[in-house]
Amino acid sequence: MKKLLFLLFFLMIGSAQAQYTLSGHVYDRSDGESLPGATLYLPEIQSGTATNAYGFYSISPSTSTFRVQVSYLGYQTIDTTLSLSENLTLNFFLDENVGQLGEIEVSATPIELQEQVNSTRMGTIKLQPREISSIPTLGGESDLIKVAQLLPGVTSGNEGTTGMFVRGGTDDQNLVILDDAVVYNIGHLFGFFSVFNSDAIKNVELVKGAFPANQGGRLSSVMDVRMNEGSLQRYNARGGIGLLTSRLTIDGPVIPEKMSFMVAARRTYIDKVFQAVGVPLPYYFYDYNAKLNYKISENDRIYVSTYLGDDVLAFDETEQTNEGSEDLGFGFNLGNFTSTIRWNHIYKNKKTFSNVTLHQTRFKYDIEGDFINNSILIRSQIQDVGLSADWEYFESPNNKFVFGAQTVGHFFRPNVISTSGEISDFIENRKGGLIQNLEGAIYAGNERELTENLSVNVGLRLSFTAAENAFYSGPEPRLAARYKFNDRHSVKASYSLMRQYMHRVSSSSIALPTDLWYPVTASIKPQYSHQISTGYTRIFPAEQISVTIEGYLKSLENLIEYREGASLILNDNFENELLAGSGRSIGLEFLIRKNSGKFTGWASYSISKTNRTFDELNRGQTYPAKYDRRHVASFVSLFEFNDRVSFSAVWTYQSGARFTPQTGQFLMPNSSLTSVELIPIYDDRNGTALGSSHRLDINFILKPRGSRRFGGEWHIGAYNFYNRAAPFRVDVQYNGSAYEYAQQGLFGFIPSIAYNFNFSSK
Amino acid sequence: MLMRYITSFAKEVRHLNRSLFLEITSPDKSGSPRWLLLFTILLLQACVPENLPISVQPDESKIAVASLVGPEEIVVVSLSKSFSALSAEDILDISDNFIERLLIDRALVTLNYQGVTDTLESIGDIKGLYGTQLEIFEDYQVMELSVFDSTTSFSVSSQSVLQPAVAIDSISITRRDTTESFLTDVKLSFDDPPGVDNYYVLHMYQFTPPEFTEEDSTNGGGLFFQGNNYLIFERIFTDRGADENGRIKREDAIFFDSPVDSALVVLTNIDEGYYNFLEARGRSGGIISSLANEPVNHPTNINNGVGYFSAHQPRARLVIVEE
Repeated sequence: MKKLLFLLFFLMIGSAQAQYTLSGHVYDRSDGESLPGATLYLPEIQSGTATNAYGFYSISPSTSTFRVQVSYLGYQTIDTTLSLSENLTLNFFLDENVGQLGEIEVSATPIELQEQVNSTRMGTIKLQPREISSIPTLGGESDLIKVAQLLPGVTSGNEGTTGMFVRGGTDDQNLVILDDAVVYNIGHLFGFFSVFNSDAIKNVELVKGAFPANQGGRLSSVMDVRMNEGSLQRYNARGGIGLLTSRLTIDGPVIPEKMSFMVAARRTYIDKVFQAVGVPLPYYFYDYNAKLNYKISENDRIYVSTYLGDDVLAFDETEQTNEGSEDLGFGFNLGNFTSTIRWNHIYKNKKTFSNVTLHQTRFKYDIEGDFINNSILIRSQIQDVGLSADWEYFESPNNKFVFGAQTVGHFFRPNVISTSGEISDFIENRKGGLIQNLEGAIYAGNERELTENLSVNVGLRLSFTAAENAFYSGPEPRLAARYKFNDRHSVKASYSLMRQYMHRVSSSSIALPTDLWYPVTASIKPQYSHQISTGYTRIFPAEQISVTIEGYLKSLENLIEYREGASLILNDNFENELLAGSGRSIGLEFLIRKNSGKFTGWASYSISKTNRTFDELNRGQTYPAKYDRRHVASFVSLFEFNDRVSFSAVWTYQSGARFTPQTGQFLMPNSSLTSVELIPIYDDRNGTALGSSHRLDINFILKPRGSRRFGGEWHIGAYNFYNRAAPFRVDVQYNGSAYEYAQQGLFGFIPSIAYNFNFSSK
Repeated sequence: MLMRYITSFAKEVRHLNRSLFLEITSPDKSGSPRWLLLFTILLLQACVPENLPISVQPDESKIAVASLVGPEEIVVVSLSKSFSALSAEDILDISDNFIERLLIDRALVTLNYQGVTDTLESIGDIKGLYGTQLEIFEDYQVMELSVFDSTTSFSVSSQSVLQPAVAIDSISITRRDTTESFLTDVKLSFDDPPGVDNYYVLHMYQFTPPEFTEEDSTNGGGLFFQGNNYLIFERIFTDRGADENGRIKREDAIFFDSPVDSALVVLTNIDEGYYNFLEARGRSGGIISSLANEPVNHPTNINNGVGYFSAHQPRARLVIVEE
């Protein structure tokens, strides 16, 4: 630890004096939205920088006259020469694919590819809304999470659900943040749809390894989702009408060039469709996104954003009996509510950028039932209120520092139970005691080029949590290094230690409303992991293709499982139901990606092995994790025939998930020998693999001729085109002559059609 | 009550399905949406992918053991054979003939305790049940069970420690003043033997069984169903709720299935292993558990077999139900 601190200190004092500073933002010219992750490359010194999450950049080259190339995926590159005689603030406005830029040259140099070779970051993948909306998914609904499941190292759970299992981790080890607020439940309809409305999303970054120092709180991945800010220049409306949902997003200026807004709404109408034909199916979900972006000055900006989404089921019926009417009802309501206020500030030196974020998030579920003068309400809730301050210091093109502090208060109230009527004799009313935990971290990191070929990114994060009768803390060192052979290929290595101070207590792999988030306590220890990864990156500029190979080794400690058959619902003391154990995962991932041209897409393949060891499960013997899928491959292709017609297809293959088959059974009289039950006999835990599955999804996008201000496109597609079962469970079934094991699939061939539109005021 | 509620909810879901079917097949008065729905459902139904075969090695047959120590120091052991998961999906799929084939008769069953070896005899005409009256009956005596089935050449063994008997000191059963159900309040208390951790199972029987249906005949009918002692309630618990004087008090609200004027309440002190077995059995039941939870493997103390051999001494109280 001392060595790490010393190294960090050495790197900080060892930085050289820089010359003048060029700083500013990179924007989309059409709507003024900032472009995070845009690259600024200085070819003469073969170095550069990227815009941060808010589209800000700062670069202090050693020469006063220099050439700079500004690029962003899907946008034309700006290639210009600048001469600095003082600090200069310059905002770059990039055009989407087409447009004339006057004296500034348009370059076809694939700088994004170069960045992949140059960057020390590993296991990091960015997704654009365009990719997300083009890739076919279940029911024709664009779905960020399901696109993420097509990336190497990300394994899906049951077919069609939004479960993510990253590099052998569990579903609760993914930190999903929407504008810096944690989203605890990322699925609608038991996880078959994600909570993210793709029209409201600006960009997404998924980090699976080599975590930077500012990211923490979960062991396996960080998915950073950013909402659109809204155009400062024109009003836009876009939306879509699909088989299952419709959505509408409107954005535009409140004060031109100063303040913008974005509001988005989405709702299913499954209930309305069934109601129209006289069948009650009272289930629906909805979500709203809203954001306000205020540019106070060139150096200060404020963002206010919020998300609200709920799943609602409400069966309600009155039955007439001889003794009058009886109310019968059952339902649930679960959902997230997040809100964030952020303040960006650029300091006078134009090298330092800060962001202060105040955020809150709440996830709760209510389950209600009414039956003959009886009622029951079960509620669980987690609420966070957090404050963080982050600084970035762009010392030179080769040297960047980050540091900051983050704190969040967690307020848990699991299993509040309210009953009335006779049922209260069986189920006690419980207030569900409030559990409060404070979690925090301070961090510092430095990314710099030590030599022309060698770059390092070193960081240290000190995290802690204060729980009732317990305090946990520990260092989280981060180290990543890149050695560049030349402009075409490099090797990378990294190490991360991650700590997680909360668990999701789930009784199954699907997103049941009864899943509980639960903090560490005196008896439930924090999870932590060590991950070592190495990788090789090679680019082919002429073909605009990048190839990445990464291997990882990951250990997971203090994992939580529940005892066999544990009952979590109505259980006020489920700590006793939890067991602690460990896990190991090793894997190799391949990714070939082509991001530009008429034909784009990627091919990915992962081979991995993941196991678990719990003293009180499987007789203490190590067993495969449930989603230990040995081979996973995806081929994602998008082909633009012309401006009006494009086609996308996804073919996926994955080894079957593990399961515990019932192999036998016996008759067992009860303890007084008065009746008999059938007792099942099971094999070793997760001892058998379900069959491998593969599936082809297709999607045609047809764009009727529109106007400059209005455009529409039809999406006509099919899920599981050749109707192959993706096994999700094994049952014993009777085939007419004998019983046999059978693997059931959930979804077959499902055609879909959707219409998307967009409208601009200018 | 909870089960009744769940049953009612299940009925609602069935009603929903039935109304769905009726709606879409009834004459179309308002236009095409119903038939569009019917078409959609048929289309989706036609596109359900075929199940895929999978090879899972079925479990080899083993001897399954259950036991009961009753009044008069009589030990009863039931023996049957476990069978493949591919033999039946549900207990309702099991015929009486199949059960007959599972039950083990003509096995050599012996109990060794305190230097005594007892050979258990078949009980009457009932296959699979063996019994004996113990010669020596002392708390904490170690009892070793040995079984040899000459038909299959299977043999199993087990060992259990006879737990001391614990009797109920006071008990009352009071019927609630309600017309909607046969709800009763059961209050009982007893002294927990000090110095050791104790585990209990409480049974309650009503003497008037509910209407005997055809299905009940497969529910162990003729073998284990004792005709008039219908088990209505089983609850396991530990001595962790005992007060400072070592006294355990319980209050349970229990539904009877029909009007009763008396009930038999049986308290049994069991060992931890048997408690865990009963707990596993309780955890593995229920719709939610079977759909959402990981499988529950039942612990066993039978070497080379399955089930549980428990030596215990139940104590029963006949209680008049108060209005």
